[in-house]
Amino acid sequence: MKKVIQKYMPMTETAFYILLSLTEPRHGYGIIKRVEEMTNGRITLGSGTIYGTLTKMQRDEIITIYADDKRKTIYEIADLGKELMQAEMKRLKELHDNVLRFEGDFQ
Amino acid sequence: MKEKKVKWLWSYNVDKTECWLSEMAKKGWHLSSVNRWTRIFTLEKGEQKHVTYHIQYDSKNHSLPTTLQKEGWNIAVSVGNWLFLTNEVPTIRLYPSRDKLVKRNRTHAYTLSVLATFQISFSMLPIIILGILASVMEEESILAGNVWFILLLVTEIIVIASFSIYVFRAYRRFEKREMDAVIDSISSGNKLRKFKGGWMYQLEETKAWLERIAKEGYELEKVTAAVFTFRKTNPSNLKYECMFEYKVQPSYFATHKELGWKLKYSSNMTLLNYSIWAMPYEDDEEMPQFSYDKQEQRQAIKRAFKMNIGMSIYLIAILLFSFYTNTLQQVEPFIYWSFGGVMRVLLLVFLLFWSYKFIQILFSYRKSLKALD
Repeated sequence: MKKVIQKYMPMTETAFYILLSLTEPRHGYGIIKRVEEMTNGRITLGSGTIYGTLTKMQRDEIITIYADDKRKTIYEIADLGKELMQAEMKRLKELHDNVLRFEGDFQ
Repeated sequence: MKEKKVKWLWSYNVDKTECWLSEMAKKGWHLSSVNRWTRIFTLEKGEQKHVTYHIQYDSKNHSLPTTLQKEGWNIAVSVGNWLFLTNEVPTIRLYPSRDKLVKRNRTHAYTLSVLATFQISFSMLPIIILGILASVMEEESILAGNVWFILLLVTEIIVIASFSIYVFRAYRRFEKREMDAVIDSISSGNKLRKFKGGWMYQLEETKAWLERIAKEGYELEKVTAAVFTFRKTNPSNLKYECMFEYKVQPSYFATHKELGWKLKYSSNMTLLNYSIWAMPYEDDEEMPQFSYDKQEQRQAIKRAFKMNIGMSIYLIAILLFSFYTNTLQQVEPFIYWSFGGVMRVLLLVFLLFWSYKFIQILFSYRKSLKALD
């Protein structure tokens, strides 16, 4: 596995949801709204979290940034980011399978 | 048909260069090559059309991501780390990010300022020596004999100084626009001015102080050094954030502004940057915050603490050292003795002030960490 991917795994919940919202290129505001929607308002992201997480990811080439006509930043997932998400989703699937398998034993 | 045009400072005025290239395209002149060393732009005659130019700098990547290609971007010219992109789509939705260009121009501006300072002080030396010689030997002829030499040096100094000032100002203009670090002023409402020295050293206290003043109906308009200007705007609820960052990325200001934060203050540098932000909110809304994550909040407090405590230790060390060397001197003549006397008192006052600040920074750090839990 690539070093960068290793560094990010396991991902924090916010980092995971931020990347998960990037199924299409989005503005920071769009990411926040999308994450809120996906988690039914459980996770609220502040602009500081968005800025901190995404600049780090940009440095590691997990995402690419563009600007729109008003110079606002648009974030897009890069190939490395897709690889990272695949690896992380595989891990989460295993986690999920085990949850289903042993759920009954904890009742 | 070809036309050549010299653009000496095109890379420091990228916006202007882009506009000029678009104007030329309207007249049917299209960019065909750029020489980085002679600064010559070669344009070729073609059909008249609307073209948007975008100049891009990237030392790693000399190709165009597919997302941008789909948006209609093409590489017109590629020289060294420079890409001259064109787009003929009338309404463009995506532009390449300018982060790397801002960084390049920043490096240039700072390096040039340092080099210019060295070169200027080096060139001053012969002038000063000649001046001293002339006054000591009481011979005007020394100056008169070297008048051309002195003139040459003075011209050199003026040229270097104006060039580096030009590059620095162009970079700041560009950066301010690209980073959107503009502070909007409030045009109406009674003014209120308050002084708060050393506010940067206790960001959490400053934040609480600003929020108290907001409760009295005053919103911060701007900060000049330690003078805070407020306006009576009767904000219902106002949340402030006072931040410290080691280095702000070009997207810093735009990201916070996009999410509704109003920039109230930013120190002039992108390194070791202090900034103040405000956001109004309604009673039934959740209080807005830069981060809702406890760990991130703790990191922000720690970051500011490290900077401020480091600063105070540095100052205390310097003051202690000067105080020590000053008290070591035992000079008899009245003039030295009295000068030393004043200096010693001053140094002691500063030393006490900074020791007090040091303790204050420590205490407020512990207090704000505790407040988080």
